[in-house]
Amino acid sequence: MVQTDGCKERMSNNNKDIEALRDSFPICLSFFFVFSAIGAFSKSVNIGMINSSAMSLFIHAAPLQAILLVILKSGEHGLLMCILLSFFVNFRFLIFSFALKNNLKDVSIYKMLFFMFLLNTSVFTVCHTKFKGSEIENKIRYFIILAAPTMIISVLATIFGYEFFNPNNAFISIIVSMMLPIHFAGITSKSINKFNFVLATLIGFLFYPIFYAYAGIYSLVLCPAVFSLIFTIFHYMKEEKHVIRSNA
Amino acid sequence: MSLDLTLKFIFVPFIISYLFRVAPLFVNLKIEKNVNFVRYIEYFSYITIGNIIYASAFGSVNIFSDSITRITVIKIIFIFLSFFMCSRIQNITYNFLLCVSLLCFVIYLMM
Repeated sequence: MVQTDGCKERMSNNNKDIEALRDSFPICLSFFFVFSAIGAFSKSVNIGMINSSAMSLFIHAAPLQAILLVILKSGEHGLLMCILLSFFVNFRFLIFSFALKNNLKDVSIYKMLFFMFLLNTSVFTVCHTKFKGSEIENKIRYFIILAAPTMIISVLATIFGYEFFNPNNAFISIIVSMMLPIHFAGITSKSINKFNFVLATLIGFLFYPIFYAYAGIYSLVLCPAVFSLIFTIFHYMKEEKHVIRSNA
Repeated sequence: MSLDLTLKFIFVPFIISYLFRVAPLFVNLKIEKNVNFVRYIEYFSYITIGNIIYASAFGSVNIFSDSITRITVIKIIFIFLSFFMCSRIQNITYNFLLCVSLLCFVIYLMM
């Protein structure tokens, strides 16, 4: 009987592992194109294959990498610029990590210090959607199986792109630019029953160009900071009204 | 790339990104007492996703003021198409592949 339970548990774990791998596939595919483009761009900036793949391994955030490469190409090499850009463009990781931490409470801090290295926007979005439904028992296992292949693919794709990709090919550049949007649109659609989240994504999409016109790259922090405050206030006021009505 | 540039462009961004990733592990946040903060975080992440969708598809092009090309229209259609397709069918992998192959086909026809 004990053995049967053990078998069942193992089978269930295997199924969840396969599910995590299956969920990581679209991320890997989009990362392949995105990081190949970054690899190709690195070659045009002339930073060397090792530095280019080290960027993907250590920074592991395509938007920041792309911006840093643009700065390198422009010849502006200020340390303060690097610090400010890294701070503003990757500030979202602080928020993502806060949100994920609530779901990974039981994991020891030492393990988390290592595994959070794998965190990226796509992995966060998938985990956040999956953990909300919460039929996944071993959440850290799901997180690792989902995130590790994306990290490996991003490094390999950077090397591949550096060696073989031509960023001037129009067809490839359009496909590359559409991989992440399709991927994120697909993931957001999983929250379709939570209208507020879909609306928040749409607002982020529509208002980005307006913020970008005034704040440039800092709009990646300013736009979400302003609108999430508005959303939270509305949410709070709606709840207050509900409480007052139910009390009356 | 010189050692100085490697430190600036790889090591500094790495340290900052990593600190952002792990800093919340040392903060004890109780959800029950900070419902609004958690809500703020959730909205922040979804709005960021909206930003990234726009930034990766259109870069610095402003679709509201700049002239709209056929490619821009196709990109907008595909973003919404993938959203609705994925909301209908459960398996995100198949949806993603379907959207990408459709996109490739349309762009190939246009070129």
